[in-house]
Amino acid sequence: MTRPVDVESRAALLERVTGYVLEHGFADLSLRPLAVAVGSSPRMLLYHFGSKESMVTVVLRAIRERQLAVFEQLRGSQLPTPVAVCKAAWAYMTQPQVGPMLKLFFETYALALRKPEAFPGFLEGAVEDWLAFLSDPIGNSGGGREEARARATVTLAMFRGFMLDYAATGDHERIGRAIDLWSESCAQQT
Amino acid sequence: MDPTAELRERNELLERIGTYVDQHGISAVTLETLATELGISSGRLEEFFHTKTELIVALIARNRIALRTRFATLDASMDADAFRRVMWDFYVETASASRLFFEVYGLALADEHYGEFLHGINDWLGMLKESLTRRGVPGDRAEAFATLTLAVYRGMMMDLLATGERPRINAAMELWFRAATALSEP
Repeated sequence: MTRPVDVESRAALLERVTGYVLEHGFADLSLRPLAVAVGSSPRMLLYHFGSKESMVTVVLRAIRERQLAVFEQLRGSQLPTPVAVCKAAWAYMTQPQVGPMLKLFFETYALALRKPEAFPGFLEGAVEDWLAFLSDPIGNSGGGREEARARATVTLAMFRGFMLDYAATGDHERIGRAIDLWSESCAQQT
Repeated sequence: MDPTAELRERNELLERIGTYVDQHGISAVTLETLATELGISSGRLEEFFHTKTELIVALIARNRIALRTRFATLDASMDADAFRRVMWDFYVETASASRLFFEVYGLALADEHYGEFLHGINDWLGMLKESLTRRGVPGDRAEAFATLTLAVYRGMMMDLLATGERPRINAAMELWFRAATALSEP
């Protein structure tokens, strides 16, 4: 008879593994140093997660869930316009504790562009979760679904580009001015 | 060895390396595997590129020169909207250069050896700013405009490379072109 996986210790382990990945990235992830860092063993990691590949999938899902929780929170705060959404997201993303997540996101994005099968669902989520989130308030202002998705695509691209710039240069002021400029443009449209 | 011949050999190697990296990605590349692939000795390859970092810098520089050359040859009388469209077409045509850019960017965030690349990431912000000013974008907001423009292009390329959804992205670009024109009007 197989022993049931201890749910609680798996959750705690996943939390630590996710923390480790946020710090070190996926690129050179190997079980042994990971096990040492999280106070476990390669055998236990495999017992809980099956394989390194499925562990990556589980960690990605955990990170995605964190992201979706942030969306829920932002949505709960009733942001009326894309600009308000963008500004709230910008304020959130530039907090120091979000830095590792942002780095991991761009690292994983690049790896996944090359090898999508190693990061199941990542690229789809990276675009679709955001489009769903962004086209929600925008969609309310009229226009069809395609129109709302096109608008959300612009907002997403801009936002990603800003974060890419920010992660490299940390130039909060210059990027802030660019966001203000964009707000102006959105105000003109309405 | 004749320096011209040396330079020619370097450029030819870089060309072939670019093709290889385009197919296999930068993470997996080592100088040893690359030398085998190119049919030369590791020693010979290392005479041109001492480290993988140097090689990456050379590949990025090559793409950057292509971009600069493209923009240097544009007709100065071209209006801002046409300029933005040409620029987008160029990004799409050279999608593999964007992919390399994002890959190196990912490496650079994880590894301080590539820090120099990150510092140079906005070196063409200035060029874009100048180009936009010349095409009628008011000077005082040219930097913010260039930052915004660059963000849109890079973000759109991230989306395009991940999803390949051309119709949605084209529709989004049309919205951007319209917004950018409205923003440029004094």
